[in-house]
Amino acid sequence: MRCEEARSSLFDFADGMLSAAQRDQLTEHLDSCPDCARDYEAISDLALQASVWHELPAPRWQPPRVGSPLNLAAFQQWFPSLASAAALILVIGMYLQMPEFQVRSTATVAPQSVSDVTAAPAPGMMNTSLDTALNNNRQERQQELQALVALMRAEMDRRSEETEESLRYVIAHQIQGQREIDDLYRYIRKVSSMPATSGSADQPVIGRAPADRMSVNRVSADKVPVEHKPVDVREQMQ
Amino acid sequence: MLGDVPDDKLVARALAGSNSAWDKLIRRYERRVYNYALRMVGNPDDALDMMQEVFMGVHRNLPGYRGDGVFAAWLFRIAAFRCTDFLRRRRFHSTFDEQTSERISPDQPDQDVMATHANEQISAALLQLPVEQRHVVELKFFQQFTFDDISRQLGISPNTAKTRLYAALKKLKQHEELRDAM
Repeated sequence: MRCEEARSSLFDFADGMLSAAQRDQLTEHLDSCPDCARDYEAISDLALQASVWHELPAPRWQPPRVGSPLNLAAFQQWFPSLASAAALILVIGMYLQMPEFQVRSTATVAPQSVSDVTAAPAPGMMNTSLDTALNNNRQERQQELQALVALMRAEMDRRSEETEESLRYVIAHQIQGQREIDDLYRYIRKVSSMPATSGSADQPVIGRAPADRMSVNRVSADKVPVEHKPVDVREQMQ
Repeated sequence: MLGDVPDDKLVARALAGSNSAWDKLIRRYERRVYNYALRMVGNPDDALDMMQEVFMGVHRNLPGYRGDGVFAAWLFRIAAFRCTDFLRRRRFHSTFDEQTSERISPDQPDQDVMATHANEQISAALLQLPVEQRHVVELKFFQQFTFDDISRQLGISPNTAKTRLYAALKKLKQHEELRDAM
């Protein structure tokens, strides 16, 4: 017998659990193996020591009662299941009372328009108070929707007016600018066809004319200095 | 009347609300659990506390007992868990000599004094062991459980239980108090 096998059987040997053949084999091994013999001696010593222990009586104490604590233990066992079931029922109940579910259910029973569904709910699905609440809710939503549409229309109108005014302004200035360019062009042609003359008083200030003319719209003529008074090209031409 | 009633029947009656069955169950095991606690924690006060915790744990878990094994093995599985938790909380130090000496009063009979002295020596030897080795020694030598039971109670394999036991034996062999008690 090997030491590993002997060591695994020592406790059964000490407890008297081995067969006669196993006991003989182990005894033979213990006679020839000092290490295993020492292990067996230690096991026997500890078993003997355990038997020497003098059992002491337990001190007086107040054990828990069966009444409330055991019921509490049972309560702790079934309470989670009960709580889960109650929560599930509550969620289902809330879902069934949601307006969307009511409309969907009614529409499934009789596919009609929304107004028909609202006016004639399926019997058995909603009680009177629920009908009233549903109708009120729907009316509120319709009012909100109408107000939103009106607001959007007003905003669109305002933006259209702004856009139209901007376009009008741009077109007007483009027309005016075109006229000025045409005038200037005619003036240049006229000047270029005329022989050269002295006297700068008759000459228009060509370079400054457009900018000064543009500023006429914003600045009154009284406030403009005399030396910077704009010269109208059309007057020069006439 | 309840003297020879099996544990399982006492458990069933206790669960049905019988205080007498529950009391009987406690009285049947409280001495064993108290001495187990005394060896594990080393002093009477802590042993009493631990015994109460064990029975509170039994009380709380009794509805979950399915009766598919020996009740004592189930009880000591709770006891082992409670003991580990108790020792972890208390950070037990070797105060055995101070506290157990208070129990030995001068007017005790000589036999009681001798028994108490032997118990002190055994406890002092066991307290030299790490808790996991102490558990295995306790369950094997004092509670007489098989290695299969011990493995289930401690959540370890039978081979691990044997390894811990051999390690404990090796350490105990060197302990002079244990040799003196022999």
